[in-house]
Amino acid sequence: MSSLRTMIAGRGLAFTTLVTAAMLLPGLGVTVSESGTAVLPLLAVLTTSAIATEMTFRLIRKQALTAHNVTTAFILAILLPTEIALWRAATMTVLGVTLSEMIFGGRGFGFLNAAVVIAALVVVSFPGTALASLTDMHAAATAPAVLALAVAGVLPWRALGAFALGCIAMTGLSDTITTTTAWGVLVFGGVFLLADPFASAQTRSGQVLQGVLAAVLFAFLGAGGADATTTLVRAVLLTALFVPLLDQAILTIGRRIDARA
Amino acid sequence: MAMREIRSALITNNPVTQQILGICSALAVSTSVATALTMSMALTAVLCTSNVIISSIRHHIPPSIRLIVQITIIASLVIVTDQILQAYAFELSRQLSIFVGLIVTNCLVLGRAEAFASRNPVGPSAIDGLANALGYSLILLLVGTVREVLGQGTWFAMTVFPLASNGGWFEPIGLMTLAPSAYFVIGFLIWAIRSKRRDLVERTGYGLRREELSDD
Amino acid sequence: MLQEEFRWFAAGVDAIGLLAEEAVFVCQQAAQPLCNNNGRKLRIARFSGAYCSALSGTHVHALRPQTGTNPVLTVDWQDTLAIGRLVNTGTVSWRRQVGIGGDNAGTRAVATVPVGSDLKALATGLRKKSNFGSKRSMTVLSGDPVSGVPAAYLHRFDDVVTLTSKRDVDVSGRGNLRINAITPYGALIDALPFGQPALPLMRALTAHDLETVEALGADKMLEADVAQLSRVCTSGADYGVLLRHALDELAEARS
Repeated sequence: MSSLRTMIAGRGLAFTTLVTAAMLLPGLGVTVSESGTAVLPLLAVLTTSAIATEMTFRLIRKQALTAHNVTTAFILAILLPTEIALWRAATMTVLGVTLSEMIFGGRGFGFLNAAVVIAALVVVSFPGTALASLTDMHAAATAPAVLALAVAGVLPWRALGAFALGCIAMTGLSDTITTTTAWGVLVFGGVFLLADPFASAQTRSGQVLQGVLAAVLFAFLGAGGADATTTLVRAVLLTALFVPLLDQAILTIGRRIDARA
Repeated sequence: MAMREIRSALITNNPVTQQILGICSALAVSTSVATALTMSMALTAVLCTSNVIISSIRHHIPPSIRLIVQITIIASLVIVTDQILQAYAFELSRQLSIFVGLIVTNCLVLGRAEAFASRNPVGPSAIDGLANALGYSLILLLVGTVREVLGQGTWFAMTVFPLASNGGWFEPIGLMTLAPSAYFVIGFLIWAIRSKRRDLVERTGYGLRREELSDD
Repeated sequence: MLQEEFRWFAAGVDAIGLLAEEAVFVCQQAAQPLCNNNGRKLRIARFSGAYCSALSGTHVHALRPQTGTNPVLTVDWQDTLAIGRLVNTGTVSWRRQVGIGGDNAGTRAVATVPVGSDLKALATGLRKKSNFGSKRSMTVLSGDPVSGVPAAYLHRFDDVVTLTSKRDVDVSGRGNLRINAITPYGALIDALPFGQPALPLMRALTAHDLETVEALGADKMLEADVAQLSRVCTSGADYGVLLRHALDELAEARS
């Protein structure tokens, strides 16, 4: 156990990227088997543009080259519709990686998940674009990722658990979520979009609130009958914008309680 | 002296990218170059005139009510400008809707009146007004150009990229017609200017020390 | 083995009790009180458990949380001994008992050495004497395995010396000010005792956000309290050094 810890501690960010990328492969496999090899050129374009953006910035900043955004590209290859024009995917990837990560100094310094931002940019920029619908097979392919990320110690499990419980509660409260729910989206999006360690709350209670908020937003935003993938991307992006605020609120409340005690 | 003023207001001390003034109108009217140009001209007229008027009566304005007087002067000028636009360029004034009227609340105008015109002679105040208006116009036109070309494939309503809907190849980026894109464009502009001109970057309260930034 | 020196402990506590305006807490692990509870101000508190239960930051937090107007002073047991010795004999003790341990130390040992003594010589001497340590290359840390720093001489406030293999030290990157991104491991969120927020503190420390550092209670912490963070975090930052910088700057701003 301690040698495993040492290994994880030694690798840091690169190790997290590697585990996440490896755990996205089953999901990619499902997408390929369901929509054919048409997804491969998209995957190539996404990977190239995401990594090229990252490396350009690191070159300009005279930092060692990294390729953390390989995970961004993998997630997007699953989320974006296979028939999307390649230049659209590339433009939005460059813009999204820049806005969500490079502006802040790279992965681990910002508070947004690049894949979420890019998917949202695609939906907003090109009206009428519907994101891919994920199936139960995607949910099944995500299950090993939960285990692997939890063992690696980078899964914000409080956020994921609260999201799951929140979704169940919202199903009980309103029937909107059941009509729009797709297992694939909730599980895949919950693990790879919402429970991104770099975009999650930094406090325990903040993570719980984050999960609950995402579930509530998903239920409300999906009420109009929008497709589940787009709804989840919107819900997660909106939640991400509130996460620093949630953390700040938790810390302030904690300080007040301490001061009173 | 006048040229130096103007040059400084274009980049070094640009009201939008450096003083971060007049952002709200820059967002609202920069969807196309035509509206951006009209807005720029309206603002230039108001800013120059208001600076001259306020400067010429600066010794007669009691300090305790100077803001009220300044706003009254600016508001009058704005109403006149708006009326002229409605009389001679009705279509454009409809596109600009309330934003010409809102020049009254444009912090740039009151900012220059309060910071410069109320304590400087008429000549320099006129130049200051013109310089700042030009700096504002430059940014507005740049943002307008980016947004119109990428969002509609046109520039001053002339086709730049033939649209796919008209048999061309270009599919407009819808994002560019929405207000947030102006934030992005202005943000990228500020970023580009400050990466080129390090001396324009404000001292931050805190941040990663340079020697601590990793190269790994 | 320390009994002979230890008789000064109670005297030291008494002396501190005379100087203190308010309560004096003696924090110990053993069930047997380390000194007689003869003063009104004196209270015995017992701590046991994981690493952080031995940190004075933990003791202060649990017994009497420090505030801006109510500072808390901590005196470690060696200094208490020295004070007791000084007030009873009039001589200042320059010696210090250090415990020596670590994965490269076959057995634990205790040595009485001068402050600032040469650690390499100390370790080699011990090795020669009693098969101490293995043949592997060895790093000597001044301090315990968690908060210790590779050093040639015994640091002023350390009373533990750790012999360890080089690899482990490189991993934790102690003394390092160049940082990578913080990978928010779950272990980091729970790294500080009493549910104190670790990640926000680490980010505030690395970003030199002194306002937040102060608000998060860093003025009640010492290097040893955040040593655990440097160990778990992969950014390679030495939060002890960063904390010291922040505390110095805060103190400067206040005066």
